Amino acid sequence: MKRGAVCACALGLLMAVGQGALAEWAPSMVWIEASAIRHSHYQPWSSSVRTVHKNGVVVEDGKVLTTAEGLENATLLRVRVEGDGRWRLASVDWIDPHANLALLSAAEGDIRPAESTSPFARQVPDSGPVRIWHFLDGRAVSAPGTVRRVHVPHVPGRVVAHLMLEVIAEFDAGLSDSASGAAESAAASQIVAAGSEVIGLGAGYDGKLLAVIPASFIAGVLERRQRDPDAALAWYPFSWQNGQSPAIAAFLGLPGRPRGVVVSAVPALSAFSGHLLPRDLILSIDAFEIESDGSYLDPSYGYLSLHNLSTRDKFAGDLSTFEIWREGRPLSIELALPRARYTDALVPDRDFGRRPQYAVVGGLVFQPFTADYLRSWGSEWRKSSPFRLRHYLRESPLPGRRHLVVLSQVLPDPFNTGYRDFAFRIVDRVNGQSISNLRDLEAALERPRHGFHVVELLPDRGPSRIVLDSAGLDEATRRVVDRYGLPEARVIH
Amino acid sequence: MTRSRRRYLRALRSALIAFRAPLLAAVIAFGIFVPAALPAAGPEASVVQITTFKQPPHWDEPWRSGHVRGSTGTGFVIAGKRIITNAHVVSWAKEILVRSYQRPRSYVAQARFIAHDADLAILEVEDAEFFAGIEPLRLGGLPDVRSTVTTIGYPAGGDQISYTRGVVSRIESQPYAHIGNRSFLAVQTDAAINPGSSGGPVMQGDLVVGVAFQNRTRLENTGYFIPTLMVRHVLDDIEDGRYDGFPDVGVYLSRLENDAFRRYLRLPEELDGQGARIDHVLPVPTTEALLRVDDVLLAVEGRPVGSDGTVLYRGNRVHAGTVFDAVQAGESVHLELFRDGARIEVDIPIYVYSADRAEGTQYDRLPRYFVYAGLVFLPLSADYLSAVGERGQSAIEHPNLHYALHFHGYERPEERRRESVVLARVLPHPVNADLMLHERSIVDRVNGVRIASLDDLPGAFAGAAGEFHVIEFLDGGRFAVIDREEAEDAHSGIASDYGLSSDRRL
Repeated sequence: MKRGAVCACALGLLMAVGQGALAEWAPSMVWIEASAIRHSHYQPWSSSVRTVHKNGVVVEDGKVLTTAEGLENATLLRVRVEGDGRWRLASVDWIDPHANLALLSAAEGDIRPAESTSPFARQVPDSGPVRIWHFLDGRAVSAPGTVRRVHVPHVPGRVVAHLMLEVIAEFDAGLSDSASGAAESAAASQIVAAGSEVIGLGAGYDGKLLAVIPASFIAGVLERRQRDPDAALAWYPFSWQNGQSPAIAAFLGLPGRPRGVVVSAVPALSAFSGHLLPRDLILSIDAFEIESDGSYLDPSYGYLSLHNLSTRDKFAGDLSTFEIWREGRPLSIELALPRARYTDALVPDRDFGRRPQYAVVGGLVFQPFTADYLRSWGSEWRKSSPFRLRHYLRESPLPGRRHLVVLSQVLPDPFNTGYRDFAFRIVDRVNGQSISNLRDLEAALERPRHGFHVVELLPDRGPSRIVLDSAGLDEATRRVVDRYGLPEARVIH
Repeated sequence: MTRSRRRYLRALRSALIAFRAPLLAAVIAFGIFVPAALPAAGPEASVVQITTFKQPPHWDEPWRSGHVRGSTGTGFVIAGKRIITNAHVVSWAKEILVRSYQRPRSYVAQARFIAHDADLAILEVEDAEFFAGIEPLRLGGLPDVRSTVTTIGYPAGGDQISYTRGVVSRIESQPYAHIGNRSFLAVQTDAAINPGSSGGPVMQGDLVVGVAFQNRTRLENTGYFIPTLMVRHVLDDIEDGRYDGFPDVGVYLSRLENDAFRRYLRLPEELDGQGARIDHVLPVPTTEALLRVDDVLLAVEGRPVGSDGTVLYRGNRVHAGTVFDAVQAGESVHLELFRDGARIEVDIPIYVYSADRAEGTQYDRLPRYFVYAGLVFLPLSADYLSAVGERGQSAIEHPNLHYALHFHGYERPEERRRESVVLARVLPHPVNADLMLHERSIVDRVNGVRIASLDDLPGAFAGAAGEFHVIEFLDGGRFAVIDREEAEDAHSGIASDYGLSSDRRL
């Protein structure tokens, strides 16, 4: 089946409001088994295989919607529908990590949605009972839950902010086959239903609360992707503080009651830089009046964070109108919303689906510095990883340094004697060249200084400089690669 | 007298009665107290138990009086009717009582000098009767590794004097936990050093070879004592009636073991294995004038420096900085360096480096603060961070403050401030109710004035002429605005409402 036709059909399903009973859509439930390569970011040349089980919903013949977690680098995907023990091979049509959604194709087109209804609700409830469906040992089971609220959470590391449901889940110990750990739980993609409608997909369970991607948001993403396969979510690249202080309003010359929020910072390299300015008061966005606490009155869900307006029927490239108050005067500006990209951050949260990059240079291991690298400290990485590295998560890219490269470890060799203790240090310059990525490093190593490579590290409590012999570098690198069983000395995309 | 102190004294008195009843009875029966009549003893006769009543401050609400609590430690008498103990035994003391071996009576003592960096203190007792019959202990030298030492003190677990014996396990530079951000020479022993032992003498024969001061909680049989080198330094330092502290040359040394790096610096082969690289130089004027990054330190005071940054010191390889421990502030040390392909020699005066004082634990000076319109400003310090979070967890709980205290000025010297000032809290009042401030934010500017220390704040507020005070923070460009007239009107009332005797301690 052609992709466009599939999307159109799926959209048709999602647009309709389900009328049937739960049992009518239950056959649309799919159990997904995903085996994927899991790269180590601590030893970036090594990887393992992880198999997770997820849940999904058939949205069109042979097409299954699920969450994105656990599908990157999939080597084997299989799906199975409720009541049918036969596994069918599947493949990934697309993964949108920012929306945390993925569409799969079953190899055999005999998986079909329940005939009479569309499972997805266009508007989700902000309270009331729900049932949470998932597979347990291959059988669909459910547990009760209660919608606690509709909100727009800020998730550290995530670029996009969008509507989410928070459900108090009353699971017993076995949330699902794959709910033993936080990552597994996030991947589980439970199906949350209210009455006869699916109101969302589970995207993370903390032992009490289930974060749910609401069906209304899912429908919007599918609709847009049907029109534009490259559609991407957008975000607001600025930070703000509330404007409820009368003194701030008066200081900024705003007549009347305090309203709107005050822009506190706009990252230098962002799409809004130069357009929105620090100390602009944002009074409305796309005709939604912004309250001084940063909320707006959503027609469907009441007061929500203004960040929801970046994804409420908006995608990257769409225009948004900001009514602002600047230097004592009102001003209307129209800005194209930027595409959400992990790579816009100084420290990208994810390098989704790609093999980790690294470069071994005479035993010194250099890697792009990402949050994935910090995650190699384990589930408590926000507490246990080196503070000095974590601090860079709070910083923005600069023209001279869009990203960072970390000297992650030293594989001992006579060539690097004296440097064995160097680890977890950010590289500043190599041979005088500023380093933002491994390509910069490669280029700098082409230009040794008087027979030496000089590696300078950003200031920290430890030594700040390394000098290597350029003549012996290649031989030492080969020796290290052989001795430590590395598949290759460098992986650079 | 506070309730806790009364309770402590009551407990102390009960203990004395319980354990010393026969002795007390004898004294009461004869109506006199004759110290000289006590049985003669060894060095323990010069070892004293110290009871201290402390009142450390509230670092997050510094205008409040802290709780009074009691603690005990040990000390010993040296020549000149002085008692040596640890600084941590008597820091924040409101009253210090000393009691010598087998005597029932305690005497009031005063801390004459406290060397917080070295965790040492010199006490004096006004009542001359205290010293009657007490022979001062003499200081010895650095004990040999593997030799046997005996600690004497009043550790927890009993009321009587206690002796433990162990061997000298190793001698090297160790962090001194009392202030937390200094390392000096220390001697490790497997003799038990427990709470209450602190300040007690470590003996070898009839000589004191150290002062017991700390242990490692995660290691077994690992206690540390301060060698007499450190004690003598303090005693020499205070001869002019003032304690200056241990000076520091103000450089960070790094190992120079890589052949390529040595060739890059043009070190000749005959210096193989010798010399450590100066990696960075602290903002100390004399040091910045005389030393440079990439200088190779070849020798200190004639002692060759190894490529691992150590010198041979009385049979032990210790950090080269140990040589400075014998030098008084303002004196010079002789350095041999290798710079730009040639050997040079430098005599460099060294001074006490205090710019990082806030990074360590501070004592005996009440914390400074400034309160304006209910906004409480404090200098950022390790003590403040400890007060507002779990010990050692500041990097997790308050990453912006942790960074500002320990890294910011170091990594961005062009932005260095004498101290960072933190908006510690807001005392709620209508005038500040709508500010929605993020407490525990670092202040950048007030009314356009860059705040480089707490002392800059009063002037920055007082000098404002406009309708508003504008407070800018370092974190993400946030700022606060407060109506100046309303703030002035509310200021004194807020101070009064919240029981501040003063709006500032600068």
